[in-house]
Amino acid sequence: MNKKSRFSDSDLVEAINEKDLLEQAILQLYQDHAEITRSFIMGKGGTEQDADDIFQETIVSFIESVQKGKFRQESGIRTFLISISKYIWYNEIRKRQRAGNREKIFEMDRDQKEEPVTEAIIDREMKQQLNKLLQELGESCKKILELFYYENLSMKEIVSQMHYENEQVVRNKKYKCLQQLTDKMKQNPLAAKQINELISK
Amino acid sequence: MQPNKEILIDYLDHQLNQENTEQVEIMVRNDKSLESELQYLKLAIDTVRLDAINDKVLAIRKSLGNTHNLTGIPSKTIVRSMYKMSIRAAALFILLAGIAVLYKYTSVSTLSVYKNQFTSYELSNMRGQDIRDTEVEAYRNKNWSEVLAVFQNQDNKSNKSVFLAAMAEMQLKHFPQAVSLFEKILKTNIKTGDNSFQDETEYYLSLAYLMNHEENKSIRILNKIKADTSHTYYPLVSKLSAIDLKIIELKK
Repeated sequence: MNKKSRFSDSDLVEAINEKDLLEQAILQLYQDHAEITRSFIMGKGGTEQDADDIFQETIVSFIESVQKGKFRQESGIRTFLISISKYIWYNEIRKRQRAGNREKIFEMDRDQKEEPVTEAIIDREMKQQLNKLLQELGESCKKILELFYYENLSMKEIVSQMHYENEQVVRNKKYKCLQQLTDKMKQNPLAAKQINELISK
Repeated sequence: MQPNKEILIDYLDHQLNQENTEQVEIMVRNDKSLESELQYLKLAIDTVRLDAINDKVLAIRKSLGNTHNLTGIPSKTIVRSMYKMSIRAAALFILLAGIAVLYKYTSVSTLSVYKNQFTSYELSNMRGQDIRDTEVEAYRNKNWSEVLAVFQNQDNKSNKSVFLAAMAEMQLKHFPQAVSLFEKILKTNIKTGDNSFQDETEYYLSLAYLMNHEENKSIRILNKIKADTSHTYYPLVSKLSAIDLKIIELKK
């Protein structure tokens, strides 16, 4: 895939799964779809800031869907992104408890065809809470976990990047950090509920 | 950390060999608590990945915003516009300053200074019926020819009589004659050591010099008056700018 060229929808999905092309893919998503999504959010009572935040969250959810193989390209990327944005925005309105506005908006869209929303964006509230728990771990923990689980760096590379004594120190630190995070998650009712549902299936 | 948890992490990290991997899978299937632990670990790793994606998207969102606001075309346009505006303002200032200098240079002349500085000499109340009173009467009546006629017929010409005659010549724009009469008063004062009509004569002589194309002499007297705060005409001459005098000097 040419790094400089623009991606077709199918190429974009492939690019999202390639570490070196992800940034270019994100950039193209912004260039091609940000405005229409922003217009939708702002047309539904959102502010400019809301629109920017919702689109950012939409992109993250879309990438997550693609990387987990849950975007099957049954609809175009734009349709999919707008569906996610809608879902997130309605969810956000519900969260803010703006009852009057919320009811009005849901009434407006009740008869519309159900858009294909991936399960990757379900449990938004829980994900937000878990993200807060991750931030509570501190920067060094978060960094080690991200370098290992997202950047896919080896222990040796992490030692070099974060200036730890040796790989074993990093390995121990990573164990502890992950354990701390799971301990915190066990205290979270939404996470506990989801785990219970999973293991009782 | 419990050994089982470390093994679960190694399992998720693909650090176990085939045999150990299979053992873990069997253990998880048969142990709900272990399965629960594994699901929490997966959720934790998902959270880490999601946060990393979010950071990446946020960085691009910010870079797009920064590009637009700081290094994009609009900002460059603003910087360029400000630069252009500064240049234009400076050019306009120079132009206006130039116009002001040119205007000043062209507008200042011996005549303009004379008109600004010249005021009719007003006689204070004097009583008398002699010939001098006749001159005073003519002066008060602004009958300049009569002033001069009376002056010509005088036998003993006082500084006052000469001064009134000189002022009559000024009013008639006979500047050479006026200069001659004013100079006569100054010479008389030098000779007698008197100061009668000295200040008045100096001031009006400077103006007569101006109109008689003797600018240097005029400026010399005006500067002398400017330097003397006790001079009767200091208040009038002090208002005359040095620039105006310099322009007159340049123009001569």
